[in-house]
Amino acid sequence: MNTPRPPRSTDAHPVDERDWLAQERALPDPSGDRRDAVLARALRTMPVSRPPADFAAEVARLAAAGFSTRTAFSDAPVYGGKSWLSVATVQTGVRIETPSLYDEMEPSAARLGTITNFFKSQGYRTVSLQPGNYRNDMRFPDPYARDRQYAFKDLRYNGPAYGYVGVPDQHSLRVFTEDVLSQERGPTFMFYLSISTHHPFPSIPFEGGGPWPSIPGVEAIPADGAHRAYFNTVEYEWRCLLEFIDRVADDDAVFFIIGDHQPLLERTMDDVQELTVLQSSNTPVHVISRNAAFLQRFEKYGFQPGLAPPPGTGGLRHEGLASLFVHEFVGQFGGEAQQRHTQYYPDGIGLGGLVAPASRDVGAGSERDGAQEQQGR
Amino acid sequence: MPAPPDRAEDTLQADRALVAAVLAGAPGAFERLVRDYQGLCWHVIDRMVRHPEDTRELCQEAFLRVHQALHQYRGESALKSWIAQVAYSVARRHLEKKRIPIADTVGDDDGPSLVESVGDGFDLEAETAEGESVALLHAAIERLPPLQRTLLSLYHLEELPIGEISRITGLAEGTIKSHLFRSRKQLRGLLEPTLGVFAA
Repeated sequence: MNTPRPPRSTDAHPVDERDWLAQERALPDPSGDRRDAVLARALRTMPVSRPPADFAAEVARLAAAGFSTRTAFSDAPVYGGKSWLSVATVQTGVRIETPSLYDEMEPSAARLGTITNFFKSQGYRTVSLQPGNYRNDMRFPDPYARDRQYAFKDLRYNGPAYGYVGVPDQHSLRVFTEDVLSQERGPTFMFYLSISTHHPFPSIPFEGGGPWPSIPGVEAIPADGAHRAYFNTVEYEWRCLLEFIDRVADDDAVFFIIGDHQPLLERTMDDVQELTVLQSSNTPVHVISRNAAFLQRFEKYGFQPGLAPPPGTGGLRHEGLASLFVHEFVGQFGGEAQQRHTQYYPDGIGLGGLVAPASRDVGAGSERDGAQEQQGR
Repeated sequence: MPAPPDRAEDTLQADRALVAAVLAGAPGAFERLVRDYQGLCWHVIDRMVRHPEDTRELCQEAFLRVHQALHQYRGESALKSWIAQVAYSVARRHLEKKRIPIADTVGDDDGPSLVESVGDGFDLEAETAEGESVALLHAAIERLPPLQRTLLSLYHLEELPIGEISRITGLAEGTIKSHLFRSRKQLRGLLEPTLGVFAA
């Protein structure tokens, strides 16, 4: 906002400078044409409205209560599906692009340097909500959960079924808040996998809440079809998240919201080549906090204020996100001395990150022993 | 008129100190910032949108944006211009969303006749007193497109130099002069049926 913009000229017929100067001289000239004097008086005395007396105090109160955001884009390891690979990549700091690599990682996930384990090692209670985990044999039972986890069966949902697993995210977040978060008293790290934006993009009514602002550009999306359905699920999800944030967040709360992958583009046999080129693996990453200094730390990595920066902002990679977040979180809340024990790895930590230590807690991006340092850190 | 160099530097220093206080979380600092600049912000947005409730909401939004992005303020230009730029941008986006044109195309003579648009309620031949002519012009200014009436306000009421208005609106200085010139010519033209006889 402080960047100078090149001025826009929309003037097809610019005023002649002599005419401009003549008009400028005529207006304040008391001895000139009376019409100019009247015009000058009218321009000087245009009626203006003023803000109400309590305006400044009201705005200051809103600003003090409000959250701010920083957003960038990050390259996910997958697009169109296989979200558990993207989740595993973020958690471990290793780019996990194939199911076979995931299968190798999963048995030792609880002992790896995941972001959940980092917070566990710092004394946080670690809890997890995965409404999409609805069968015991599902591919992603939460391998990262430590203290307490909630899955589909814990959510007691008896309403209409929506989309991929049936339970709407608004219900899941409300139940989890009531059952789990309201019982937690100390520092808590919550890991949540939303599900309501999953294909087939269900239309889910949002319960309660006030009017929702119209999102600029939405008119460009056709009113029917998969694009609009997908957009509607994203809007629904934001409403759920904002309701959740409003209910649970205290002054110190920090939210890190990561897109797992883009949806698969609709395609026909005729446009398959073109759409393959267009298919992007970039997803948004948002940091939300009341702490302006914490948010500012992310700007050196390309994060920008707001929720929708220009495409390409940031240029991050999912395998680097955990170390980035931990590095700046520790820098802000632990101090510089503590931050020296962490490091940001933009390209992740390599396959060595999947070798679990025999014992002791580990943390994403935290300093390892020499052997692990050589394994890609 | 632009502030003399010494005064301008004093203003910048005061701006930087105020911003630093807000960023450091000093009690009351942001409220003071809002109080110092709410008049200009309100003025810009009100001139653009001409709707009391929208003005209040958009003015709030502008200051919340300022609060969110204040760390980006480098102190190289007056905080007043920076805030006015945010206010103008918020109001312009609001009008664009509502598909309200913000300006007449510059260059096609003088655009639609203001006499036609302000004629209701005014008997031009009967209204000869100067005060009534001023009221006529105020009504005509209200009916100008949002951009033109905002530029008149910034130039004649806020007394901002053309260069500063250019920074706020993102328009070239020549474009601003064209808008001002043509708006004033249109307004002056309204007076001819009444005051012209006195001016002869």
